[in-house]
Amino acid sequence: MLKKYTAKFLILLTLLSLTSCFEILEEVNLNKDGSGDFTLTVNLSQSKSKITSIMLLDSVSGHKIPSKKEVQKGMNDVVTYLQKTEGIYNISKKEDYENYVFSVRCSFKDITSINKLTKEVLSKQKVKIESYNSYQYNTSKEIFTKSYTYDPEILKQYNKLNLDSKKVFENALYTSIYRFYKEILSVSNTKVKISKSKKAAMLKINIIDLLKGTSSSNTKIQLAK
Amino acid sequence: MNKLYLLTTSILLSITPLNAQDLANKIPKEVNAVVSIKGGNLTELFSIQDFGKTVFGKKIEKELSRKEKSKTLLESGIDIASTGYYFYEATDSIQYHCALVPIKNSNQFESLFSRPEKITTIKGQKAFYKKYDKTSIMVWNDKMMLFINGKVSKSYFSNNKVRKQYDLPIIENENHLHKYGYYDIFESRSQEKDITFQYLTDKIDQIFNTPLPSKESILSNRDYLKAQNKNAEISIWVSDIMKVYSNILKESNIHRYSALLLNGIYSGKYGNQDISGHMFLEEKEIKANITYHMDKEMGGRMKKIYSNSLNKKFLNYINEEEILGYASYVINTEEFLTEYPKMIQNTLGDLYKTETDILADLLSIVLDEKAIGKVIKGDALFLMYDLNDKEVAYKTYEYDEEYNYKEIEKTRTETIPDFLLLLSSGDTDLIKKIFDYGQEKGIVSLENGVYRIKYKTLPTEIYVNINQEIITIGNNKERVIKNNTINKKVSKKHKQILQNSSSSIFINTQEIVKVAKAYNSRKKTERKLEYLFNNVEDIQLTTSKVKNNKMSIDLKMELPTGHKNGLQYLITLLEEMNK
Repeated sequence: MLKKYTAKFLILLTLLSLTSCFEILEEVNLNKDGSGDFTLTVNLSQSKSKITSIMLLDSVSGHKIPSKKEVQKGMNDVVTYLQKTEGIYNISKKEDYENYVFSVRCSFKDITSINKLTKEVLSKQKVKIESYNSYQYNTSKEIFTKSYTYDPEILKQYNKLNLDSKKVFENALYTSIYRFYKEILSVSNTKVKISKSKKAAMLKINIIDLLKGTSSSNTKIQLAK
Repeated sequence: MNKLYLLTTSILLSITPLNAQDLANKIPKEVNAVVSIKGGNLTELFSIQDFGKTVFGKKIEKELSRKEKSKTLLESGIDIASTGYYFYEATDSIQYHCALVPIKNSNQFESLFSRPEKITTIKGQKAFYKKYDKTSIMVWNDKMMLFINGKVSKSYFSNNKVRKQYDLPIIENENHLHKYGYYDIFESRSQEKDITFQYLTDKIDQIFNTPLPSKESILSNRDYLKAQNKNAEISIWVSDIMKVYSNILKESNIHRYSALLLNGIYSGKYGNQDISGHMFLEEKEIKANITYHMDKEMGGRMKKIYSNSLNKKFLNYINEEEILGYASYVINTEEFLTEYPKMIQNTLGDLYKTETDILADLLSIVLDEKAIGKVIKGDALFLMYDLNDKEVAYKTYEYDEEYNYKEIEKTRTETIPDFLLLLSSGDTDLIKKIFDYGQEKGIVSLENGVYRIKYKTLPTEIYVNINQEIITIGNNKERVIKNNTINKKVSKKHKQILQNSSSSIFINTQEIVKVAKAYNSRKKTERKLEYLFNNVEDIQLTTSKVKNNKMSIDLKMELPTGHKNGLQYLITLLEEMNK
């Protein structure tokens, strides 16, 4: 009895003292015919100590902590969804439970095939938030568009979190990398950086700004004529 | 009902010291438990006038004044110069919960009722109860108020002889009483209430109209008298804990397992085992203790189990100035393994006697008590040290000019508390073997004689050192090694706590609040933490060794400066925390 309480107390004290944050990395490689590869990586390794502590408890401040099994199931759901989606192939996943880095990779015939992915994943997790990404590529005009649909509900949900949970988002980063078969002519979003060869673009946004809607990941890229 | 309870509790809260009119002489000698609240001691520590100014006091006065004119606690008609009592009495047929409150002005008391027309009489005394709940009654005269609640015994009313007396239908199979709910025993809820009401009125008659001969009151119960302490603000006494326990089991909806336990308790060989407890809210400290008086046999067993003392060498690992708290525990493993099966046997009594006999013997064959007792002696000390910076590796990405990326490892600093667990062992070979096995499995590595356990589900690395019959386990390598460069300091006070207790918990409250303060960023909490920081002292909880078949638990906190006494301190603390 005493041991159990001391252990819980220790974990809680550890949790109290740990800061945490995470990274999301999205990468698109686009071919001339509109086909390409897509990779999405969630890296929680900066919160490693916190996650391992949290996983020893059942719930933290009322939020239920998913077990390793549940995380695995979530990953499998994503893969199953992708397998069922037409125009998507070469699906693979990577799970690193020591550093908490998870990624999914797939090839597509047309980038619009992956548009429903975020929506589908969120609804599987029973999250009723309508914030999602959609991608488009116009092969004749050679224009790549990423649009982010913002749902104020996400901010409401965020505001409901306690201070400690909010802190998790403070330094969290969302990085997008887009690679093309030829040079970029112009970019609509001023925050987007263009590589030396002009064939790649990168956008780094604080996730907190996406939640608050103060920053947008909307990007329209016109390739050279 | 709620208001009735609120009124009763508020009244109980406002009561006072022993005087000629002590209501204890109304309590029968054979009751199972008594709680006394010495209003006199309490009001000496914190006046009723001052209490009226507190948030809780205001709430009670608002409740008292709800009729028309405002009232203070002093005008409630309650005698604030006497002790109030609660007692629990279980007979074969009914369980009573009673609160006795001294009254000095019954007119004032009656004026508290918002609907005086509802006041009736029972056995010649003024009484109040809700028509739909006749199992709780308030009765009073010029000297006292009794709040009584009763619950009839299911098992008693399952007996056909009893059922005949009460004109209840005969139950076919008495032996399966655990299958019956209240509805099977009584024809309706109101029938049950009527029978209960009958019992309550008889009890009221006895308490108000038939004074107990002095040799039949609790004041002639030697165990009770021995357990009294006039300086305590609140006292509790339980006459026979096993009896109270079996009563609870008996009246709970008996399922198979509790029925088994119950039968065991009935046939178990227990002597009288009483419990007494006191709370003192003194000028310099707040103290509470509970004493468990065992029967001779139990006392003998427990004495053997708790015969050891904490390893003195453990003290070399403590630096008092850096600890947030500690917990210690000492048993004698060998005696525990020998005595525990016997205790189970005792609990089950004659039930399954042959089976438990065989089981105890088997255990004794399988377990070599002496050998196990040598490996793990049974003493442990858990130390929680202050927060410490620690380098932690994490994965992130590095990009080239074409935004190609690769995963790289970086480090960051995290502050986590250090802990250290100390265990004694007379034979460390087995433990070493276990760690060697861990090494083979790749979970454990040996670094300069210290085992390092790194396992991905652990938030931090764990170090284990085995040195001179002491096993140290912790997340700070330096502390685990007992590095002589680290300061060691233990005061006499802690030496005493650690060596004289069979278990102890010490919390350096101020240091913990300091940690909480460092990580808090909310204004409201900040103010509360600041108050706590300036107004707390260390808390210690100790369990004694067994002496004269007694074992006691003591809770202690010194009073921070600037507080008059324990009660005033607690009330102010509650006020501050509720602001």
